[in-house]
Amino acid sequence: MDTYSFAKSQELFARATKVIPCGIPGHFSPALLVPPTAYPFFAASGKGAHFTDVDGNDFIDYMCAYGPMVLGYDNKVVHDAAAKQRKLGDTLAAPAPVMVELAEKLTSMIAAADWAFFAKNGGDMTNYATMIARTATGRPLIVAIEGGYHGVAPWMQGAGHHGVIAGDVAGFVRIPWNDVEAFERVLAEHPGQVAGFIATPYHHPTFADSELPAEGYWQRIRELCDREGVVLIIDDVRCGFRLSLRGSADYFGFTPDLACYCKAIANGYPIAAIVGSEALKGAAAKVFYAGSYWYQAVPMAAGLACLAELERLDAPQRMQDYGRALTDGMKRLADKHGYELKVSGVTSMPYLRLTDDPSLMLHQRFCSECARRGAYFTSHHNWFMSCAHTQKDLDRTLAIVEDAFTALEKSPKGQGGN
Amino acid sequence: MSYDDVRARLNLLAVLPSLEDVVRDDPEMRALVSAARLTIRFSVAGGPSISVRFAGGVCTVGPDHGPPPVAAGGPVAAGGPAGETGPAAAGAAGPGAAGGHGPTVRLVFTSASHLNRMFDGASQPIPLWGFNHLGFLKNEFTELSDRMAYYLTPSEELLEHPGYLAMNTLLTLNTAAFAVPVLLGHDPDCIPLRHGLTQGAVVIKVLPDGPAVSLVCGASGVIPVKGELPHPSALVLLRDLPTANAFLNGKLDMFAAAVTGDVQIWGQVNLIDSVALVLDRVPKYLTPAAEPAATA
Repeated sequence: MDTYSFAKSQELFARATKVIPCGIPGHFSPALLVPPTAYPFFAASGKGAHFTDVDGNDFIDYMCAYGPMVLGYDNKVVHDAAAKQRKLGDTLAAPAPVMVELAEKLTSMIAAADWAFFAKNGGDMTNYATMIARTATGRPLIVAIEGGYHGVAPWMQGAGHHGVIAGDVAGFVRIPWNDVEAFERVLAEHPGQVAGFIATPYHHPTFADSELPAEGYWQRIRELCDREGVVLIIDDVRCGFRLSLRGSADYFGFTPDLACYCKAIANGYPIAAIVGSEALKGAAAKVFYAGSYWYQAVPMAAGLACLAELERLDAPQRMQDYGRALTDGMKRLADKHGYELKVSGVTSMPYLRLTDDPSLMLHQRFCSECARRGAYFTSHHNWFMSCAHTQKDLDRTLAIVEDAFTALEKSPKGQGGN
Repeated sequence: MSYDDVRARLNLLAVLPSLEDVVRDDPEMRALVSAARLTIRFSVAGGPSISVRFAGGVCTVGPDHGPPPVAAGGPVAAGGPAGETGPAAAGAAGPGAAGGHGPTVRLVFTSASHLNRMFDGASQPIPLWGFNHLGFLKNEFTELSDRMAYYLTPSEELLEHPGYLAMNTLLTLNTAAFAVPVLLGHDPDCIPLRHGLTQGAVVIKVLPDGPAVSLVCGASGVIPVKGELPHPSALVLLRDLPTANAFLNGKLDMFAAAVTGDVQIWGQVNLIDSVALVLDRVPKYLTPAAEPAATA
């Protein structure tokens, strides 16, 4: 099987480093792609479940822009709805009616959502959620999970990271995932001080296996929040609409007070949302929270169309089925070649790891061999399935995986000695 | 902990171990101390202490192995790789405290800033024991420490010489590695990083043939080891000496370098990220431009 080269990506990156810190900053940084020489840095176009890089290489995309691409790139239904709204107006002097329509749509879809509020990024919403919780309770502390990702604001990054001062994290307590007793201890140590508990529906850290909630975990957390008057916040930014269209909390059988969404709302159009219970609507109204482009109508129209398509396609089931077929096939191939491939998380957004090497170096080599053959796998982050992935994509991906395992066997040891 | 306290620890526990490398790799310095057989113990009142031992032309820098100092109120707990000397402990240990490493010269500093001023060349310690070895201190040891300072204070002109480049890179690499546990233990910005540190060893290696350092990260902290340990959890491979030197002296955009291949990273990248956050704090204490206000 031929492998790709990335001369134009590398040339463009060299230009980028002169005018942009890191060249490509944040979660798109190629520094996270190990080794970067096996990956494209810049995408030229996308269609369906594929994107083409600036060197003309075609990839079956399993990162889906780190989540937003849920229906496939260049989706006509979403684009048409966006184009229709664009003709009417986008950023205007007042919100467009579509804002109300989208709020009505979300509150009708998501279990226990009585109201909705819109912004641009998931971090806008998780931050707002903590402010609502503090307003509603009059308490200072927010309990979060160690290693839980909620965005890039200082409190979300945590103490010790650049630009974060002690005061930024003073109102937050981090506890281990799946540890109800730790939450009970925090409640006991800070009586009447805990405003909110924030977590993702299940734990999906980077560089580590995803962990589903232990049986009864969420129900027990819900009970404790009710008993202590703590606002239960779900960060459904990454999982949202890939587990259930009624919200990931519903998938795991509990009801949050606030739930934050972003990635899969509008298939790449920039919009985020928080939904909440009637009891918190007043507190949400009291917190002043706004942004220059938060009333942009085009993404709202795109969101309405995207959500309707997700419903029509029974999207979560479809993505989970595809992910299951993919990961089952990959595990079979790994076994055939003498490796053990561990799959964790829900199959619509699985995290995979070759357990034969705990340092991840072997897994990094495997993913990079797949990437340079056209299956865009990263080794540090959970992958994302979309409704646009087809049987043909699956067959092609498994052929790439087979070839990548063969290449691992043939190639000399990697830098890590694996 | 104050800026001076952290800096004193870094001077003792991260900078001073470079004497080992200077004696080993600089023939002139090796010859200079070849006949020496003694231990110099550096102690900061109420702070860290460390011993520098000379025997057989080899210099070894490490924690004290003599009897623990006793404060007026009772034993003083040891902490970290070097002991912590209680406020009343100065002078409690006597000759021969370092056991079989020959006689001991004991240098006491009244405070962290006193020690830091000595490292800046602006003050002298108070010798409590080993007066008959003051000649070594005044002559050979001063020459040796001046040479170490020379290697650790680069200029663009000096770095053009391959031998100097190699020594500066080696000493800077080791100093950075030995600074990691100090900063994780005492720097207010780094202390919170301890909790989230993934367990495993990070190897930082200059290609093609070294030098290398390893940082063993575990539940009890980080242990720096000169050289390359097998089976690391994470690898940072630096393309060559000039790249390594630029990296260690903060002249390289780490993210961009990781993409261009100047710096290759493998394995548990989150572990590298945590260590990098700590390494980024080293210049705050160990560059001439460092300002105490930076930690206020």
